[in-house]
Amino acid sequence: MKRSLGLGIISLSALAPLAIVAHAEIYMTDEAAVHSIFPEGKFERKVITLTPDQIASIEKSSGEKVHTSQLMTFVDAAKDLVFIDQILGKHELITIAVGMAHDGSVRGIEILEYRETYGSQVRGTEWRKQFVGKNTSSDLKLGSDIKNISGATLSSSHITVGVKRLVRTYDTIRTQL
Amino acid sequence: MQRHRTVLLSFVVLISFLILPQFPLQAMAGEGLFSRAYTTETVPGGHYEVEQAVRWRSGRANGTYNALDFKSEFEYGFTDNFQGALYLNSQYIHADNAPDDNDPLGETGFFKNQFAVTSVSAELIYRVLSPVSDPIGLAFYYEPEIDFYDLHNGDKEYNSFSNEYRILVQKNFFEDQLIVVYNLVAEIEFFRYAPGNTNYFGELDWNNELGATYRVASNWYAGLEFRNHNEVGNFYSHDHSVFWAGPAIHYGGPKYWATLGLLRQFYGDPSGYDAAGSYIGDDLFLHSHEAWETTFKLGIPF
Repeated sequence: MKRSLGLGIISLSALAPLAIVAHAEIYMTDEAAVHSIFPEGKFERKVITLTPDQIASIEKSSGEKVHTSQLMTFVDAAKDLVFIDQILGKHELITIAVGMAHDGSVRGIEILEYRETYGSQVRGTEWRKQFVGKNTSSDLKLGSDIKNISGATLSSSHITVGVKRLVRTYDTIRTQL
Repeated sequence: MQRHRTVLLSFVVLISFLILPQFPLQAMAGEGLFSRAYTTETVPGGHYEVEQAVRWRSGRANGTYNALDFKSEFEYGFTDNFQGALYLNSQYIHADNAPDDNDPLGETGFFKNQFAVTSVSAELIYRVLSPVSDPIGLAFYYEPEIDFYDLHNGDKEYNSFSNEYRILVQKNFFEDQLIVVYNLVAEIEFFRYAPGNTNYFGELDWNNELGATYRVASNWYAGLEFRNHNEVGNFYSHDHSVFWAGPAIHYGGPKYWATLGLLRQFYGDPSGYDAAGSYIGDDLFLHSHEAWETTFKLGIPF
């Protein structure tokens, strides 16, 4: 009988070695992302603070919640801009860079930090390329003008929503750059 | 011989969980957010997941009753929406003067102290709608099981089997940070307690399981779960209904996930004294179900 109890305890204690520490996957620095999207530009880091009216306007036009009023950006003299932003992933935050050309269209996006082990297909060039040229008149909707990645639906959905919000954000702040 | 088989199977389970952490782990899916209720999430196509659950059930109307249910699972995603799994289920039970449906000693309670492999089962889940890309998540679940021992009292069973069906519904809110799930469960069981028996006993269990959990911080969810279990003996006679509720916390990371849930029985029918005059709990059904159950699950995707 004692052996029965022993087996139960051993089965439980076998779980102990599984305390594995997760490691962040950082693929790119902010500066490297800016250079990747605008290789020719000369950008300066700038923190932009959204006013409550701007936040309301962005939320209304994008249909998405603005989580922070502080925006980390890189801006050049021509008013090209790169947002460094964080998106809700399945477990952690996904850090992305969204480059906006001065005409209000998306120049490119980069995934800087992705700690969700599954769904890293969002880093693929072909999927990210879908966002290039999108502007305020674009749907920017998963399953519509942006293809879903099967098996990575949550990440692709949240990134799409995030890009849409940032496109609207650029439109809102362009005059103050 | 029986003992050797049990020890051998336990050894295989033990070794599996000692070795698995050495493998590179690259996927994350199929997470259990609750003690009982399932989400509509499935393991992505071509990926595997190993899961170990331990459930401690305790507290009956009389005597001492403690059961540790071990559920070892191997999941595989055939496609992004269709997964299969194999289970090896074992149990350590210690009961002293505890009541049960099949207690041959009546009010004196039954005695048991054993470890056994109680059943093996398979699982198929097909997801029809995703809670992220569709307005609501919907999946269908089927689990056939071959039973060797009764989970409630540890009695040996012969040529016993059951089929469990679930309809899984999930709705996400607030950018997928609030997850609400509902499972409608039907389990049809056929069992025999003696090798010579030609007739099966049969019963229908049907359950409602509801859970809601919120992402309180990166990697962490905290939620509540409700479970209602209804047993229909011989498929026509209502035997009992039991209700539990309690919290569940969940950690999900790139390498593994873990869930700890507690369920407390808060209502049972019948309650008080049963037809034989035995005490079964104040507003509770503690005859063949327990007051408390604590569940720990660990999942490792790869």
